[in-house]
Amino acid sequence: MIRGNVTATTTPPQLAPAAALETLRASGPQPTPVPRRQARRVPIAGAMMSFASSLVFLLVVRVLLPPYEGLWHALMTWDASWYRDIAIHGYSWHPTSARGQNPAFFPLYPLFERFAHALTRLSITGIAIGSSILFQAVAAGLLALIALGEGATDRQALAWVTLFLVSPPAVFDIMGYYSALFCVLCFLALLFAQRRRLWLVALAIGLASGMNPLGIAFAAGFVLWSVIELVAKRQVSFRSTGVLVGQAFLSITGLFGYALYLLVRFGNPLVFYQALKGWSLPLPVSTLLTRIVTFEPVRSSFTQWAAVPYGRNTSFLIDAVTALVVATLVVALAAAKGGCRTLGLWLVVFAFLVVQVQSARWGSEASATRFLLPVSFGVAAIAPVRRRLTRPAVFTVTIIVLLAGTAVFLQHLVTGQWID
Amino acid sequence: MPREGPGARRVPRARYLVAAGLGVWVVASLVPLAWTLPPALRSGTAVRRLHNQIGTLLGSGWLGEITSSAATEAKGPAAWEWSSGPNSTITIQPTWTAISLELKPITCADRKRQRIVVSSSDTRATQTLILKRGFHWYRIDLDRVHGNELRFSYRCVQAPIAIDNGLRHRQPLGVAIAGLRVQGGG
Repeated sequence: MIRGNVTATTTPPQLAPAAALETLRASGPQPTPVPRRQARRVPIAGAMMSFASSLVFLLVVRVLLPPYEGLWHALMTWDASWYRDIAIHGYSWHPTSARGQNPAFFPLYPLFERFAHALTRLSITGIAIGSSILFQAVAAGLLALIALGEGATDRQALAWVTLFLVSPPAVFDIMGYYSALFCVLCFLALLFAQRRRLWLVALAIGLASGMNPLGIAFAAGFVLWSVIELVAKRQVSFRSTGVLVGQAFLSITGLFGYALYLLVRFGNPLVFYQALKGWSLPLPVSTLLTRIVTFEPVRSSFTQWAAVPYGRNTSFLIDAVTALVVATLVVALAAAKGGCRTLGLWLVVFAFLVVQVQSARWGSEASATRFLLPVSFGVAAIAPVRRRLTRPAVFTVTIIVLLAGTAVFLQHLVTGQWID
Repeated sequence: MPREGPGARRVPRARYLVAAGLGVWVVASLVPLAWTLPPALRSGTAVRRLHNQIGTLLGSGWLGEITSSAATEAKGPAAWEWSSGPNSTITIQPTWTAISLELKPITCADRKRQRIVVSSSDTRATQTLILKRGFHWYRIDLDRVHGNELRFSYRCVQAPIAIDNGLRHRQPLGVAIAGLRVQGGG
């Protein structure tokens, strides 16, 4: 479906109505061509808004932190300290240890930190926090481009970016986390898919697969989507199958490279999976599946918070609410015309599954906000969802709800309580 | 091709059926909350009550988070906090003459009873509590105590330990506290 205004310069040659319909069906959902000036102005405005929001977040954290606690120290806690340690000392693995070990953390982000440190001689802490802020600005610009490509007006695109910037996971984008860089890769994949640049989609997802298990979920979603597209277009041939296989391989190169490194270094390519035992013990497959199918982590988060409404239970509750929002998004996309032929649906479905597997092992819904909400912003930038959420009344309610979650995350950050 | 005309039967599109199926699945999976949330909310009330009771009085050597039992049918308290490490402290006021604590011990490795030696920083006077299984109230006289802190030393602690319906704790636990009553002014 073509949305928005199509300018005279981009109008395709006139076809007979039936032929035009067939052409549209064959090529699936089409992006709206964005005029060049608009394509520059709106993303730059989005990036500027991102810098402003990061500055506000930093000021809020500094003001709320106790005077004796350093700002940089507070922003380099939890996973950020693991990544810094890997960037400085590299990976280590003790097969008999029951503690959490650093191969559980994928290498692309610490590699980036190490290279940036070698290039600039800035401290790892400075690089980690500075690059997070910079990458969030890039992600905001890309999100604006995705929204424009889906037919959004300037105001709608910037309203959409505003929601992204005030959402709880944005708190991680002022910390030494990989989240912002991951958002950049996710939004690049969606943008390239919108423009039908499939090799570039595969490349972006391939890099993401070297950064986080969610990237592996993206690769699975991308491959399934490619197969659906191939079958739907009835273009199955040796050449198209070969291209698909090539793109599928490219989409897991990050994971493949990491596994190869682990094999050479520690003699076991699955060390990254085994290292997870330090955080949560593996469950029998039947228990795992039962918990996922019955949404037990979500229910458990609600009841645990009702019983003990403090500390990490509050974080788990926010994750449970996020999981339900994302499940609703999946249902909405499945019901939308052509929804099953959007890459976004399959990215979010597989990402949701990965988060549910992790949550089933934890016993509570975990990481849904940090992992799924940014992806959902990219995926839900399509017209029906975005148009509803950027209407003034709904926008006001949405921004209040998001800010409430963000306030809890910031309060947890400054008081040293764990969030995920 | 969709049928047309006034007599045509409307057939729901496949995507609507898929979405409806997914929606029903999500909603159905949340139905058990109808009977798990009310007892959890009752436990939450107990947790908040305990938090108000002991929140400012527990010093060092406590886990820092309150555990609750959503099973309110079980007799005994619905919320408690575990000690952490071989010693714990409780802050007291000079005007108090005695305090009563509702405590439950872990099962020591040697199967002998848990024992707590209660002392204060400014006096050699000590009291010893020998704990029975399960939660019970124990009274500590503060007549000869002049400091503002009581120190508890446990005969045994265990770590890691799986208690409270299989929840694993890495910290060495000794006793759980579920209530605190004060005699005297202040």
